[in-house]
Amino acid sequence: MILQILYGFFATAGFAFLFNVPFNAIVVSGLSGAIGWAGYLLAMKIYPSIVAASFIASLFIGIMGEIFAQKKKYPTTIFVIPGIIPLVPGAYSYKTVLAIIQGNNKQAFDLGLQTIGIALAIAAGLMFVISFSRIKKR
Amino acid sequence: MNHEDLLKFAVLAGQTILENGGETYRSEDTITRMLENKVERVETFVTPTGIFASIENDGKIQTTITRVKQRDSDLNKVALVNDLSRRFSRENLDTLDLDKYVKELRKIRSKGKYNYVLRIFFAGVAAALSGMLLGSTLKDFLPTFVTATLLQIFVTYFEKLRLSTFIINIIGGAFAALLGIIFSHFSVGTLNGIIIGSIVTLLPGVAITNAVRDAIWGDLVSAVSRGVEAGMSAISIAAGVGFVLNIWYIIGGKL
Repeated sequence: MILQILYGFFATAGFAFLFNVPFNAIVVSGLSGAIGWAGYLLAMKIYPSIVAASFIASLFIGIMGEIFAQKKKYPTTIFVIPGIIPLVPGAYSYKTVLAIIQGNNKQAFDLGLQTIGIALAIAAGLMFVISFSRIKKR
Repeated sequence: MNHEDLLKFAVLAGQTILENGGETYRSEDTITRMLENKVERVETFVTPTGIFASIENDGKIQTTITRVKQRDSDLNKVALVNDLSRRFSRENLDTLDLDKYVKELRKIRSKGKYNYVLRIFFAGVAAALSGMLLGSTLKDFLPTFVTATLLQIFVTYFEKLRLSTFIINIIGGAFAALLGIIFSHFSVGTLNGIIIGSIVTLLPGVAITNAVRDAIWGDLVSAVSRGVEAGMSAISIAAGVGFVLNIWYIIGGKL
C-alpha cells in the first residue's frame, strides 16, 4: 500500500512535469496526488466500489489543491489537473472497448456504465470542494 | 494614458491564460480585475474559443474581439500571468508603467516548456506508474514506459503540425494498441497493462477539470463545451485503440 502511494506521488509529479507546472510546485502537486490516491485506497478498503473511491480521491485532491493554492499563491488548477489524471477512467473505457470487440455486449454495457459513473464521481468530488471554497472566498 | 493599450494588454493576458490550459472564468476574471479600477466600466465575455471585452470611458465604448485557436497545456504560463495580473490590478492608473508590464507579458508568452527529452522521459515514467496504480504488474513497467515514451514523441510531433486533438487521439490510441500487441505477442508484459498505462497521457484531464470548475463558477457555456471536448477525446482514444484491436482480433490474434 505504501508502494502504491509512492507510485501515486511519482505519477502525479510526472504529469505535473508534462503540463509544465512551475518547478517549485511539482513536488507539492505530487503530494496532492499521493494523498488523493491514499484516499482512494482507503475508500476501497472500507467499501470496494470504484465509483465511491474515485469520489473520495477527487475530493481529497480538490481539498489539497485549495490548501496548496492558498499557501503557494498559485492557481488551484495547477495542483488539481495532474492529480486527477490517474483517476480518469481510461482503464475502464479501454475494457469497455475490449468487451465490445469480443462481442460481450452485456459486459460492455456494465463497464460503460462504470466508466460514466467514475467520470461523474470525479466531477462531483471536485464540485463539492470548489463550491465550499467559493463560500470562503466571499 | 491610452485606454486602448490598457484593453489590449488585459485581453492579451486573458488570452494567454485561455491558450495554456487555464479555466474560462479565470480568463474572464483576470481581464475584469486588471481593468476595473482603471476604467469606468468593464465587461467581458469569454468562451473557450474567443474573448469579447469592452470598456467604457466618458461615454465612449471600446470593444475588442479575439479568437483563440491554439490550445496547449502549459500551466507555468497560467501561474505567471495570474501573478502578473494580481500585481497589475493593484496598480494605480496615474503611476502605472504599462511598458514594463507589456514587456513582462511578452516574455512570459515566449517562455518554453521544460527540456524536450526530460518531458518525454517523465511522460513515460508517469504513464508506467499510472499503469501500476491501475493494476498492472511490475512486468508491464518497462514495455509501458517504452510505449508511452514513443507515444509522447509522436504526439509532440503531431502537435507541432497543428493536427486536431481528435485525430491525434485516434492515431495515439491506435499506436499504443499496436505497440501493446507487439510487446505482448513476444510476451513482454500483458496487452491490457501496456495499453491502459500508455493511453493515460492522452486522457483529457485538463478538459475535465476545467469543465467542472467553469460549471461551478456559473460559466455554463464553457462547461458544456469543455465537457464535450473531454467526451470527444475519450471517444477518439477508444476508437483508435478499438480499431487496431479489432483488426488484430479478426486476423486471429489473442486478446
